[in-house]
Amino acid sequence: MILAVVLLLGLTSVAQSPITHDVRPGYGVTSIGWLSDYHSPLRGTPGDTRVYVLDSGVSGGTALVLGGTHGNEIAGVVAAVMLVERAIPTEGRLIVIPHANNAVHGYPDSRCPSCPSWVELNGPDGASRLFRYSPRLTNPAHQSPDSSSYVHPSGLAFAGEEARNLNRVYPGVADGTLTERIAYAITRLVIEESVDYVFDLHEAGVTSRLAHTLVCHPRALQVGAIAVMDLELEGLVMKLEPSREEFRGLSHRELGDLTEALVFLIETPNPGQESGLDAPDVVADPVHPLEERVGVHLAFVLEVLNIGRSLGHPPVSVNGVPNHQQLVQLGVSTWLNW
Amino acid sequence: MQRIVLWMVGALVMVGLAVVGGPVLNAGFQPGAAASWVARSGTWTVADGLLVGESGRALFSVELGSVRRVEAVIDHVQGEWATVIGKHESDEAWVEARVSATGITLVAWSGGREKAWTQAVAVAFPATVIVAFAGERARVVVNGETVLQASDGVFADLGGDVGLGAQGQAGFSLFHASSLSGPVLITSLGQSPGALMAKVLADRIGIESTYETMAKPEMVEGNGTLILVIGASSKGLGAAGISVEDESARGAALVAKAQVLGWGIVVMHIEGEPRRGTLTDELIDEFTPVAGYVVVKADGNADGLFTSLCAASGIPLRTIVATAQGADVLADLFGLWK
Ligand SMILES: [Zn+2]
Repeated sequence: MILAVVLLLGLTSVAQSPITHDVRPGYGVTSIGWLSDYHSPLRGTPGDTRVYVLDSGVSGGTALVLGGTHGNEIAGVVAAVMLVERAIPTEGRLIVIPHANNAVHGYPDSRCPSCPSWVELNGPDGASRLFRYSPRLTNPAHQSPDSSSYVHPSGLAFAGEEARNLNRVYPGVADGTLTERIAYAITRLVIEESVDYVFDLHEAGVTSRLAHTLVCHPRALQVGAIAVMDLELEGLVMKLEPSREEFRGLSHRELGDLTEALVFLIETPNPGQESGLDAPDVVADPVHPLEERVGVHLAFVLEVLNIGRSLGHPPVSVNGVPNHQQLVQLGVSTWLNW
Repeated sequence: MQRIVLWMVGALVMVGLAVVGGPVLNAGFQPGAAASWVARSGTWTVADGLLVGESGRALFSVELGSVRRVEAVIDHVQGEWATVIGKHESDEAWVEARVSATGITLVAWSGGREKAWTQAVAVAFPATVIVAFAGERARVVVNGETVLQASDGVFADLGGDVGLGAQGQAGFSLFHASSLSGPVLITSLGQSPGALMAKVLADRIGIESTYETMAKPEMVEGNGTLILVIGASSKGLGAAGISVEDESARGAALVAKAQVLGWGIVVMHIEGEPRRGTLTDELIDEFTPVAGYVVVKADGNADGLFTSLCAASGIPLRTIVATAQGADVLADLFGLWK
């Protein structure tokens, strides 16, 4: 009996350490920390996650890139991982969290039963790498059961399960649910690291109104407008949307309101999020292949940084990242480390 | 009041001529159109939506500055050439572009002396021809291509009327002349970010402009140009606590004031198809007919709504493929082309 309890506790503690991922930091990475460094109660929970810092050593601004706010939005995860593996900042700093909500893993996705749990990317010499493809929301095992509704501190009410949606609970609550604590830690990071630009990388269903959208906090709208117009000339067509007042709880609204950062949310189209598709191919879809979507994310991150710099915002310059065309031509694997 | 103003414009449209307040003259040539032109020589008749001239000149009287542009759609040339007259002070002082199927000749007559600049080019009819003047510079644009540029003091010295001409027979389906100048007041009708994009474009060409999403008639003072950027979403309006009726009333008040003060009015829809929809279309229907000039992004006019509204009112419609190309259009309209 005692042995059973000890075993159970042991298992519990194993289950609650954060999941680690196959991320292979490149020369640009100067330090690796944890999200819990910004909010210690997160340590030892499934919500803790790796934070990669790429510091050019040259004074400038700081950009934060969040992948994996939603576990199924794989292009954002891969784009963030690619930055960790390939980006070389030459001015300012890049901070990357490839799995912003690391508590989404390890349970089936009821929204997409036919979606994969892992995405495999093939590299040279028969090598392959696996990326988790997980549900959108925090694993319910890590949080008390959903209520009938989730009420954001602003008073705005959402469906109960949205309490497990990282992008509804910003700016977070220090002693709140696991999801709220993750949001709180990210908010603390933005404040403590004096982040100037935040990019929250997302995906949406291919026919969703949101797909191909750049959402900007009102202070970031001018930079966003220029980015949308300039990249349209290169064939990358995005809608421009400002954060509305009613977007309470969302990263671009709350982080933008609470800090000085220019906050952006980028949405690409993911067939895995399209309802009614039988066997979506989230990597090799003929219309929206992964490399195309990753290319859009990275193109907008870099374009926004260029424009921000040209408009006198704190400069962040990054080398080593493929452009959209290079990604589409050579594929994602070419631009990862093997 | 708003309805009356629109009705008046509508009434003018019905007789085929919309003289928009300010330094803009638009003429379509519907059957039974009131004669706004004066036949200076030759014979001039209106038939089947065309103004047809035979060996002579027709002049339009409008008060324009020296920096000005004349835009005409030449339907056909049966004979030697069709003429677009950019400046006509007297029979001894004028500048005109002669357009044939094989080339353009810009001719200036002043002080008993003729000067001519010629460019061989294949011209497809119907041809949209723009003759523009800025300081000592002049240029001729045919079907979107700048085919001829010239520099001479005569271009700055002369003013006067504008007009059309024919050597042999030529038919014209549209005539527009304008002399737009800053400062520019840019506002949104519908509260989408398109207005901010227009502000970015205005900044790019270096024209003095004020961007005010909720501009009020008090901001229309002195001389200037009003740019109405149409784009609505129920979300955007709802969040701002504004109804489409509110926007319509605000727009009508702005237009009324601008017309009283003789401002030019430019209507833009530059966010494409995603920014079409019931609410946007209500504003398009209402405000396109009051424009002196309309700029639309092609996919926002896929159904031809702007085409039919502009044709009905004899308003030139400029189509761009990418939003950023709007900068060239504004540079053209304000005489700031390079
Ligand atoms: Zn998302």
